[in-house]
Amino acid sequence: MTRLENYVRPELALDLATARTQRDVFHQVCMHLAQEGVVTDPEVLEQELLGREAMGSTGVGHGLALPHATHESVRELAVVVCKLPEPLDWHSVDGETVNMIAVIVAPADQRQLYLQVLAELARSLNLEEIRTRALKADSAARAAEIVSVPPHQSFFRRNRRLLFYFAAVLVIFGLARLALPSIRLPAGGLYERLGHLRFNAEPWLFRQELTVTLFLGMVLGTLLFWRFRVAIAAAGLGILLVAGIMDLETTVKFMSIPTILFIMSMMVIVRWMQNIGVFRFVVVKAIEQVKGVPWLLLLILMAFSVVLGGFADEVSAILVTFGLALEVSRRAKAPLTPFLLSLVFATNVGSALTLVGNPIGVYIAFAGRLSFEDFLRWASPISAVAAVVVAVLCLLLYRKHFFGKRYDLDARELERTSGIVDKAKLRTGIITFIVMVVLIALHRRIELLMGLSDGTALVAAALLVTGFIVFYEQEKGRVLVERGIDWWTLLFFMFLFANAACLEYTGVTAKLGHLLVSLARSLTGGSTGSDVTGMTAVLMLWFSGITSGFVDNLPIVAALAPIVKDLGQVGLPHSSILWWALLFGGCFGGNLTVIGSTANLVAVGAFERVTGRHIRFAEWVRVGTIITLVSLGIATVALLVQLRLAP
Amino acid sequence: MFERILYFVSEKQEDKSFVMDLARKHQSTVFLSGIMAADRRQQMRSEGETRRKVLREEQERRCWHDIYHLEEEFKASGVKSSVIAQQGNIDTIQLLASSTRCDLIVLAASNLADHDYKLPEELLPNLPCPLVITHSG
Repeated sequence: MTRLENYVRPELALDLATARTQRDVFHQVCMHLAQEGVVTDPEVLEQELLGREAMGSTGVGHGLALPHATHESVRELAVVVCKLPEPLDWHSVDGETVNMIAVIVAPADQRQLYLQVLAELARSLNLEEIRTRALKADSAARAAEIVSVPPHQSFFRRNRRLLFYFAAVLVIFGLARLALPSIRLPAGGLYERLGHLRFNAEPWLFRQELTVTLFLGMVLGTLLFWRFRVAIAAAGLGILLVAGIMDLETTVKFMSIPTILFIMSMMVIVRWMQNIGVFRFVVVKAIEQVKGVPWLLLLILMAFSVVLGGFADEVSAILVTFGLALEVSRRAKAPLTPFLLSLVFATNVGSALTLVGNPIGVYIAFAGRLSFEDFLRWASPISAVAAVVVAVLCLLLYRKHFFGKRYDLDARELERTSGIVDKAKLRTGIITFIVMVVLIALHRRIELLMGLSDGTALVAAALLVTGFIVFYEQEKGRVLVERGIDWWTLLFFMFLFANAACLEYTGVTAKLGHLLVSLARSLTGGSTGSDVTGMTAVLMLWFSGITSGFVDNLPIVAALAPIVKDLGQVGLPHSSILWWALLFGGCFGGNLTVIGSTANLVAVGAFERVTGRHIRFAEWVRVGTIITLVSLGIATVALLVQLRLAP
Repeated sequence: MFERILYFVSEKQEDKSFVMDLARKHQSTVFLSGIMAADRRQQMRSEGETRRKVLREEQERRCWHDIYHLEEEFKASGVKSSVIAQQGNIDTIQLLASSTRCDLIVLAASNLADHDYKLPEELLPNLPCPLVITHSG
């Protein structure tokens, strides 16, 4: 192995305060090497370095350049690390200026060693930690030291995230042990009649402490180790089983298989529609009508984000509309960031439109036994109003990009690139989508007509359409099921639902519900009845809204849903309003940060891949905060106004 | 026609010759980068942590060595070339294709092991330019 410290010597490093061009840099480096006795003919080496630069820039990106050459006039291999107080244009591939240069020169007969040192240096500078520290170093000599000596990371530094995680889980357990025994459900009244008073004593207290620790540990684990979320959720569930807190039968029941079946079927349906280009076709047709007027184009794309977010799913919605925005932006040379943010905001707001749009909607529908019609009555109008306000806000915030200009867009060109190959299939796709929406919309009536239990027709409708699609696609149907369903996510959902339901099983949610109502009661000056429900709804809406901005919204909703169920059971008036508070909190809160929802992550991923630019956290939060506060505000007012109408 | 070619360097001589001929013919600038083959990552997973780290570093070293070796060859034969300080997996292809504004991407089939399904489903629809996959025996 080539050891860089043998070749990158701090005493050879140079601070180039006066270099303004590549020629200046090479001149000063070559003269310096001549003074140090490394080079015999500095002028020739300078020409060689300049000549090689003309054959392709050695700016490798990230503010670095690695000029290199072998030459007869070089006596020994040397690396000169240079720092530039004023960044220089080095024609780097990423277009960035250069702050640090490492010049590598070697005798012509040491080509193999020269390539080894060059490769080692490139490898070292490719490590983000070393590169950042070297670029920030206050002198060239310090930068050379950083580059040459591989960083030693102690066990604690290497595993700091994991250690932090275990420490946090222990703290959670400690806090749960302290807090849960002191929260006591009052004797008498509904809690006693429901048999909840057993939750005040052992062995339930220990079960509650363990369940809370495992659930919060899982939420924290998914936040810190997102890639391993299934493993973390599975391990949590395993511990619950081994500890005897839940039996196998209850665990399977809590996995909410109807919810999983519905989401699974919808994944197949939506992937199929996406593959045959149904969504894209419809959006392209609409774009044709706006004739290049930027603000109208944004509104059309936002409207489709809302509708697709509500009737298909948020990820498909953002893939279609942002995919088109990318093409529009490329063709019209329009800035992409306003499109990105506006479309994501619209998708998240739209995902509360119906029960189909977001997994939390599906979960709430099954947990609260709510129908599609309930969603049309309670969720759609608020979501639609919020979407209109968000659209106006986005146009106001980005007005300089969308007014006073016109895009030179050929809509036919967009249509040509829309990837539609089979018009007959497209027709079948559109008809299937309409049939699916009608069946889902009528599920409650079908259930009443046929005497089926709640949610049966909903799952059946999705399964029937899936069956038709798989049959229609013949041998491709198998691929659709294998690839179209995100099995990883589904498995996570199953484990998560079971973990969350355990909070209800052990009485944690009954205690939290009692605590929440007590808080709401004290905030409303000790009043009872619907005022308490209103305050509880507000607390739930804003809590789920703000936390959903930082943590995946499904764990939050899965943990809070049993509280809503419990409060309904203990007779809180108009308690069904709480389901809607939960839905809007979970959906609208996703706009707060870049990690707030899956749609955000998908769109930002595509944005970064295409532009090579990162969206800064603060850049998102600045606009996301306004949008989230306004949309949560709209939901608050709308829910409070309708509170007494809620069952 | 192909002013800027993005080439993910592979070990096969046939691939290198193909890119060099193409670059000469079109007077292109070649951007050289590296992809760590998935099968090697897979192989590393079965090793212990220290051994895995050593293997990874070794592979990175070899990859950078190949890249700079090729840059030398290209420049010596009059082909303009630049190295990009970004190694990664198949997911970085689109990022680099965009940042280099390339007209053609050349990728070796050997770099696609374990990721072949990603190519038609995730990568191809989002690429800004054509992609050539070389398959040398």
